[in-house]
Amino acid sequence: MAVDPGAIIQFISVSKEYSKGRVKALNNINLSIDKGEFVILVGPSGAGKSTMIKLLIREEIPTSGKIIVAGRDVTRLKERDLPYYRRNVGTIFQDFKLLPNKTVFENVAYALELSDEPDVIIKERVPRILSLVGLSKRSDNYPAELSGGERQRVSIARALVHNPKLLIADEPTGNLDSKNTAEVIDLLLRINKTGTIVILATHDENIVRNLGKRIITVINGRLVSAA
Amino acid sequence: MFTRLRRIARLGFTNFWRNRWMSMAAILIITMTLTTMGIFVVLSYFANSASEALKDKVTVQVDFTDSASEEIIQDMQRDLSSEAGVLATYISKEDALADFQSRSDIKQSTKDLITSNNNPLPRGLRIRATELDNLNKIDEIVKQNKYQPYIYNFTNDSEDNKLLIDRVNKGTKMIKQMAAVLTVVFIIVAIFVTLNTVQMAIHSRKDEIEIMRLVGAGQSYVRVPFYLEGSLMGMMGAALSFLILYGGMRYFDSISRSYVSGLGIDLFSAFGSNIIQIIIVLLGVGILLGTLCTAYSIRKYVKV
Repeated sequence: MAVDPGAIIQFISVSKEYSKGRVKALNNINLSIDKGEFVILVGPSGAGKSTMIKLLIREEIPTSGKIIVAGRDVTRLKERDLPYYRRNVGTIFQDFKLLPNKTVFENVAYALELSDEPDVIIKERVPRILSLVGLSKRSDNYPAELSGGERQRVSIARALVHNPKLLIADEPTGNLDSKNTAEVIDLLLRINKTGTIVILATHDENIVRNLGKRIITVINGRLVSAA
Repeated sequence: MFTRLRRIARLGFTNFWRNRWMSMAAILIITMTLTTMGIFVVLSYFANSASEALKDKVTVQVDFTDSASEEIIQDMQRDLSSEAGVLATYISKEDALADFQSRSDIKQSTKDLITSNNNPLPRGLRIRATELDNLNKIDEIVKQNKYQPYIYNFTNDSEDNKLLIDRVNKGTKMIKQMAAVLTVVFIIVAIFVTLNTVQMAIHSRKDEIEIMRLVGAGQSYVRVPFYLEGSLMGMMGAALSFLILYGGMRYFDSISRSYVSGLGIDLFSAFGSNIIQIIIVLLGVGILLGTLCTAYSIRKYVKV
């Protein structure tokens, strides 16, 4: 597969092996995702979804192949450029990964502080993002005082606060009941409407079947369907 | 830049405060190391002062007959200074007279009997040992046959004090060696224990580090607050050990006064007059220990 200039994200012959090749997590993945797409990665646990996400946020490097994001090969990013890259990629996780001793506002503001944004911008942008995810009234609460759905919305707010071009959600609804799941999915759809690419990984096909979005099935490290 | 510094500093301080119980273990270990180091330094100082004081107490003096030529005296002075490793000071008739005149335990009427015109006081060599060991060699040199005819009087009270001197000498050496070995051993142990403690403290916060990386924190935001925490731990350890040493010194001072009062060792005032250096060394070693251990411990967690 050659580089496709229209695609924002491209996996080109990507393979990932662990334990010196004894475990093949991904086997020759070719995939391209266009501007503004909402892509759902489905597959059973251990199929390779999380590995794809780890490669995409450069937590790991593929054994072979290239991953092009916005024209750059992320597998060759220098260590000092990683923070800048990651600020353009929002990530949310099943376990929310919020700092327990910071309030909702502080958790979101933290992401901006770490990238040297001035206080003025923080004071303006954080409330705006919190109102987008419907948590304006919860701004002074600590994560422990929130429901699971609210916590996931805080983590979405944090992921969005840099205005990333790409939002990656790794099993974001894994810990949520059906009502909260619906809320989170709905929020992701709204974010996608603003032009942000959303990649949603889940093992539960039921929650995404009726969305009418592109579904990519991963089984045993291979793409079974990339419709 | 200023905003970044301010935020990093605030992160370091708040983290330190929030994790104070976790940090406490590391602080205590640093305190123990510094205190032990301090005790060894004090012991060495004490041993040194004891042997210095003893050396001052020992007088060795050779007085010469008037028939002794200046060359003979100079020969002996050279022999003593080079071979025995001692300090031999020449005392001329005039020096001897001045000494005599300045003594307060002699009546003025007696003093008047001796003047520069009528001065029977002998020339001599006053000998001071640079090391207590060297006192033994003085006898050999002075008692050589070539000098015998010219020696009027030879005082060496180091003979009388030989047992004491030997003991103090051995004690001093042992204390110094022990202090050196134990300090090294203790510092190595302390490094390992501090390392482990800090590693445990940081392990419990690996989620926090992961989140920092996730939201795109640069190296300085991840590492520097930890370094700051480490150096704060070191500072606290230094402060605590200073208090312990200060208190201990006061207590020990009162005891040592009653035991070795004759030697005129004033530990507490020595501590007082070196207080700035002591604080600087304690702080320096403490901060170094805290920061280096933290730097080493976070290495594997802050891989971007």
